[in-house]
Amino acid sequence: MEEILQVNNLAVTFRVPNGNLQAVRSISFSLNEGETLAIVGESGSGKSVTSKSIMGILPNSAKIDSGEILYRGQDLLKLSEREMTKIRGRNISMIFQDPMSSLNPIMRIGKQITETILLNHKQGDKRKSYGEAKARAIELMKEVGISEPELRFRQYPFELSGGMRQRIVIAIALSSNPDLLICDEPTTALDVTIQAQILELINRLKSERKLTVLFITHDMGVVARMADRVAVMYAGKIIEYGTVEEIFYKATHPYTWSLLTSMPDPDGKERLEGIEGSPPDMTNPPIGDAFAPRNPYALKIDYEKQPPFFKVSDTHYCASWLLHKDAPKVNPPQAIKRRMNRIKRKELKVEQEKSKHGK
Amino acid sequence: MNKKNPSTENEKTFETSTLPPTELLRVENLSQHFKKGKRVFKAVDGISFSVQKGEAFGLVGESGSGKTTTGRSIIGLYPITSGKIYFNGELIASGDKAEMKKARQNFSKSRPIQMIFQDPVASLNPRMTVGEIVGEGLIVSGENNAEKIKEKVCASLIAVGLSQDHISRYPHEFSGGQRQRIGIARALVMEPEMIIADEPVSALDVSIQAQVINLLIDLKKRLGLTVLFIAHDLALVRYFCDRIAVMNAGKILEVAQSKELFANPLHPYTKSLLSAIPYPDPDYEKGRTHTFYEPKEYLSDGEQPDLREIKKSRFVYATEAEAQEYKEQLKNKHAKK
Repeated sequence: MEEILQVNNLAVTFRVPNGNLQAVRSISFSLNEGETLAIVGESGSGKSVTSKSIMGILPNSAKIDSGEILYRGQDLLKLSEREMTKIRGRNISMIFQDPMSSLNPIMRIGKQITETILLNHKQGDKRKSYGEAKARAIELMKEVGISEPELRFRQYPFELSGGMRQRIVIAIALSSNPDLLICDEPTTALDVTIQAQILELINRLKSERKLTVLFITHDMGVVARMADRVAVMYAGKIIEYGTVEEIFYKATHPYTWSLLTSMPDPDGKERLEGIEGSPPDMTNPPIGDAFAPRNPYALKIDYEKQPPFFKVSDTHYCASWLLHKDAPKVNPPQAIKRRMNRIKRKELKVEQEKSKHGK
Repeated sequence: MNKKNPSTENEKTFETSTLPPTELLRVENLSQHFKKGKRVFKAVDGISFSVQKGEAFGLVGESGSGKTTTGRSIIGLYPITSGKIYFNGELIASGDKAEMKKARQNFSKSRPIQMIFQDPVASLNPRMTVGEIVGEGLIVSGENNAEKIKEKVCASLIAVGLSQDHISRYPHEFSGGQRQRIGIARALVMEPEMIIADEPVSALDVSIQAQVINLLIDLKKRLGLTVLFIAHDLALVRYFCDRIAVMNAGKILEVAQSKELFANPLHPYTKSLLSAIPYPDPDYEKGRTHTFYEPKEYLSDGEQPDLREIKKSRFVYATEAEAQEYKEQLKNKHAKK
């Protein structure tokens, strides 16, 4: 598998009235071709800032302090605005949370799609006429599942429902055949049944067009449905990453545990467990592990020194002092244990079946 | 309390058939229509349900289903188009204007229903201190002893997990979860019999959501509150509510005990809602299929659907024929077990 995107030691700060807010604090991750990587975290964890840095659309108050973002070996942070414009849309596209604010309310749907197509095919032999662009737009609208595309082509965004609008946004994002699609909370503003449809659409497009997807969300349920690999962010840092199974069934970071236990699961037996307290003030981040004050398992060293990444498996890394060889053994919460045991039983069953068939 | 309304006793609404003596809130054929130019928009279209004392009743639906409008109609934020709302056996709202006037007078004397709103930023006045926000209701209802007000405000802040030092601070100094606690304190200070919580956690982060839900569960137990919980998140509602009503397009489509609703959903819309909830469990997610709901068109000359009783305290919006089918489905399911 080829690496399509590599982010190394990215750090982003924002100028705010009371100092510098460290939104992203030196994170590194990579994205392999054809996979879906989910970045999950709560508000203020820096997940959206990360995606905006990749697209080069940070607001003026933000500054990238260090790091590199390599897209197929090319550092996006070193490109001029003009070169970046070429990458944006043509190679990397992004869809946002609120479809109403990413569409122009006083422009017909059709124009918004054809505009992108015409812009991307301005020069040389690729040049397209309006007629060609329109045909392509209708084709795209059909691909994202819009009924009566000819009618919708002439309508305005307010005439469409939220789910339809998000489909249009996806159609625009796909208009120039990108190979990397960044989805920043694409379904947060939508109802659950519509969310299910949009997620299904993204998954279908991903396999049909062999897209690589970077999926930003706060919802562990959506992660479970979409992701191949997961990176969990807290206070501007990635604190644990691994394959989707490793994060959900073999998680080792207490913050990941809390994220999992604070959401309803299909058994729905226990009381939900929230996390006491609230995230730290990022203009003045703590010296040690930022999660320590809210962490019931916190050790003394958590308040003094930031934990490095400890290797759990070849694909699974976790930044928590609990994994240090001298750290005391701790028991994860009941709900997590139950989940782990259930999967173990299931794996065992599969193995038994296999050995039976073997005989 | 415990007053049965004689005029409704013989009515064949589904509520009367199971009417227990502890009914706190009863909504009968509530309709709320909004006029937009010449078009009439039926936000709530003839719904009936009742909430028992001490119960947590969930009203679940997607945006535009009319769940919020229902909550607001109950508390009297809109004059209702038609129908009747009883609280503690007394009429508190009616579509009939003359009746409504009387009902208003009755209801405004005491404030036994309080509301918690969705947006903890928009629902708190940024220029008032926490003490003023929480105490305002007491002043409006005629309390003028400053000492007493302060005492009550402090007690209520402590009850929601804040401290009395917070009394002189302003809302912007608090995080989202804490602001929602202030909203809850404001409702509690009035010592209500019933709380209407309209999406109280949907604007919060997941970890904070769980905190606030747990707080509501504890308060409900400790104070014996009755709660009408309005939300879009069916999975979350299950943790809090004893019974759930599913709404869509201004109508209640299914009412059931929470456990029952999740185990045996009957109406196709409930099924599609349940199939769409994402759970944090990739193994479970892999094997799932989603069913999509197509609203059924009922012929105007055919049999009309209504909320029908399938079994005790289990109602589904269906025609008589469909109701029979649902009964069969339930029987078969139980037989299999």
